[in-house]
Amino acid sequence: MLNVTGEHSRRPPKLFSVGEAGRYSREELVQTFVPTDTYRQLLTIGNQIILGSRGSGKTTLTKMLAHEYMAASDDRDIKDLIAERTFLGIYVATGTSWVGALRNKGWLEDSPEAEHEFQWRVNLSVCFSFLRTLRSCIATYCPEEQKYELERDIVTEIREVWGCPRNPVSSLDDLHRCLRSIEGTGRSHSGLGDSTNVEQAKGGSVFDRDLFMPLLHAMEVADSLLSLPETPHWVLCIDEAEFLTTTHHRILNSYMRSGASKLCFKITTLPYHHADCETNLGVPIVPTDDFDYVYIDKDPVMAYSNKRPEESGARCPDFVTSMFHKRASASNYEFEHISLHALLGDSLLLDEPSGFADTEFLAELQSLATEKTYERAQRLYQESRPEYYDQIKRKLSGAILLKKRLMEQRPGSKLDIYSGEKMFIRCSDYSPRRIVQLLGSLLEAIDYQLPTEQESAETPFIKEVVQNEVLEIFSERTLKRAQSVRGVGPLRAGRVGRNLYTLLKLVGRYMKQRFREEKLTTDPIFSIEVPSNVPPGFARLVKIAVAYGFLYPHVKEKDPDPLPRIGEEKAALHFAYALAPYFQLNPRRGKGRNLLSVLGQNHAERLGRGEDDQLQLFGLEGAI
Amino acid sequence: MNDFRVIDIEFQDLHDEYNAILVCWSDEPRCTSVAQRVFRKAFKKCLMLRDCTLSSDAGPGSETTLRKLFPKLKSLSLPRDDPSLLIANLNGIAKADGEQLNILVDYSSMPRLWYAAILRWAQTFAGEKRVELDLAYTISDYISEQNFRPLELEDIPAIPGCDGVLDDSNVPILGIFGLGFDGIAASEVLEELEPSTVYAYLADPVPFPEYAERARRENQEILNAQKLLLPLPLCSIRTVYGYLSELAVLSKSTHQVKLIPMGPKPHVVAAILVALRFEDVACLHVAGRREKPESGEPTDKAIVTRVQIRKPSEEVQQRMLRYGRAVI
Repeated sequence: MLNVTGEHSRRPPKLFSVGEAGRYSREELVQTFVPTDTYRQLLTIGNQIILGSRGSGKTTLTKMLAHEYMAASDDRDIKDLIAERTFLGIYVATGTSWVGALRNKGWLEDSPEAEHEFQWRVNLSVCFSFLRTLRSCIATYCPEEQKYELERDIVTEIREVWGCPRNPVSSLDDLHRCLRSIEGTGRSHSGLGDSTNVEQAKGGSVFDRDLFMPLLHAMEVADSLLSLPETPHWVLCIDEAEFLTTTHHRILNSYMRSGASKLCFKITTLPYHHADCETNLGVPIVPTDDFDYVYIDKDPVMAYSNKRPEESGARCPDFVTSMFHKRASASNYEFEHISLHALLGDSLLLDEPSGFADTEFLAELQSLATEKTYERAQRLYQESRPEYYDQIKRKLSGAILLKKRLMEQRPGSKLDIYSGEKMFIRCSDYSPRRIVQLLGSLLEAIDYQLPTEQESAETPFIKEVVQNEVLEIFSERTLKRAQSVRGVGPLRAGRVGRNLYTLLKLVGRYMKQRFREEKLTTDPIFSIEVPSNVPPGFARLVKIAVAYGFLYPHVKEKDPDPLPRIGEEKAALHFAYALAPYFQLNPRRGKGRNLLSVLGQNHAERLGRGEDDQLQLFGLEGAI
Repeated sequence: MNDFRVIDIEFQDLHDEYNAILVCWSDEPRCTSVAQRVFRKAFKKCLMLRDCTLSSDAGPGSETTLRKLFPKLKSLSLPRDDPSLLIANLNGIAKADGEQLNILVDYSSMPRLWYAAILRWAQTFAGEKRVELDLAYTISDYISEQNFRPLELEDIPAIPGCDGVLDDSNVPILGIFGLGFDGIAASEVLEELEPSTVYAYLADPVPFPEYAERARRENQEILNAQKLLLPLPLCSIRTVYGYLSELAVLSKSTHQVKLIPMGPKPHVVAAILVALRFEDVACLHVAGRREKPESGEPTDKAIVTRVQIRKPSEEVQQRMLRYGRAVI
């Protein structure tokens, strides 16, 4: 039961305050992992490029493909796969600091040495990772009494191909030290702007030759000594590939295209950060032939049903609900046995408007909606109640409530309308990182007072007005984060942060003003449409907004490349729902407004060129 | 690898003669302050480094001043990210007679990658001669919040030579953040780097009373994430170097240690020295630009640090081989 004595810390446990998977231990990650359909889609053999905005769970998904994580899982399907020995995942990350040591040598840029440096680092990194996988395989598949001998035999064979000194390499730890020493030799002369030293130091090492060759040799050794089935599938999971450049991607693409080995790839990157399918072989890789794109961002409107599983007939509880309970359970948190609905209650804006009587609704509609919308509502009300409900009332009651609350709001008074379970999920954009961060903030703000007599049993543990405040702060913080966003990998170059922040603010304010001043229709203003003829710099800015979860594209589900080609074709995108409370908008996606009209053509061009003209920007803001 | 001995000194402790002085021309008013205090000393060579992308009218007065103070001044124009020309000139200076090289460096207005390259060069070179670098820094006026423009993040590369070890996703990351006023950029680094443990340090005491409080206010997200916050004096690189070395030594067997200095330059120097000393510790450069670059007026306060680079004795080398560098 909820402890109301106040004798505990107000700060929620780590699993509710830290959203980045990289900050979790293996145990924490495995304990809190919620297997989804997308995850099961990845547990197949074949090259896949996993696209997801920042915080969408890419790292968790790919780490959970690695053997050492899968072997620690209690999930029955995962356990079966591990027992079959046919899916052996190796996890490697090419994140900020991995790439940071590649890109700090300006004198090497675009030179063949730079490619060698990349290849050398990839070869070493995947071998480091392979050692972990190998350790996990030995622990899982080998009887206790044979482990020592088997490890020694495997290591003895691998050290030969990796060029390690004969002694004292007899354990995986020795092999690890040997790799560190090879790494140290290559590193010891770097940093002084003299590439020849680096190459001399590395030259001749097996890690400096063909890409993945040291890994493939080691895999062969493992195949034979671990008695793996005839077709074991080694799966290389490369996480955070957004930091790799187009040249790096081409090297990896070439390898995928050649299809020369039994190694298959799961590569995660941000949307629009695998822009190049070219290879160094003259033939590009083709989606569906050589690999599949898996886009993992989900629109909460489509993905979440707030019906209880017993009502909806769903087989599993919702993803967010499972996340909450797994984390509460792993943290031994006091809210473990309380439902999200009990914590947060119904959403005034998004839940079914059962308390809004039709007569009252129609009266409000007459004053707040366009004449056409009101007439349509009246007609449908007379002719078909289900259609009236589905096409009018369901869509517009939230907007009417919001508009009324904003009109009636007195200076200094607090809103309570951004609240409820469904609003929390909507404003998280179904992004696991946002879900955790938002949950953490909400739990931190919980009021430990017992409900008063006036408050009904339906009152959520976290009062609506408190939820509203938390969501507004979260929304503002999300927007501010845009200022520090930068272009990475293929979208690197030029300034991003301030322009992205300005773009989002302008679009948000446009929507806010339209919502406040215009009469309502059944199409809320929450989406934009980017025409095909936008300047390249502007298209790049929009792509970065998608990558970092500020805009979400309306995807082409059946297309091999599900993302619209921004700057080449007309693309519709909705504003991140997380930004709705800050701009006081109703988070429903609706039809898009032409972005260039929203901003004004000149302004869009300036933003696209990365020009710094804040005064003019604010002038324009005033004009909207 | 050669080790550093770091000593806090005063201007009056500087030598009378140096093999070279390295100054940096920039648009910051403080770029001539150290030169004006030391120009009477004997310098065999005077190098003025300049960013080749900076327009020549960015600080014409400063260049004239430097040329007046050092008539034999040699100007070196180089890109910010490629110190090759600087290194070639340092190699030239090193050809001088004698067993010891003394070089005075004014890094007040110098880009980070250049003074990092000088330290790295000295560390690599010191096998052949004893090298002593005197690093001088002029403190500029406090920049108020109204005049401060946040850093627009562009890249987070490792400082060359401070790469640390290749990331091993099984080993948790310890991020040691040096706090300045760029809290939003620091939060972004925190999100990208995903350290499992966060330590932070900030300049306190500082000659400006409001500095530390503001640094704390701007870095709320880092402070929420940190397990240890160290206030360290701005004016003692030796102290900062000592504390950071200790943190690195205690953590590097269990963590990948990454230093992210975002505070004042003397604290950045200390972090670079630590990363150079321990090759498995990385030092990251949070690079970006500002709408309006920071450039306060120079004060009369300066921080001078002597860095002696020595080849370890035979005995120490043996111990390093046996126990690893951490015990030294």
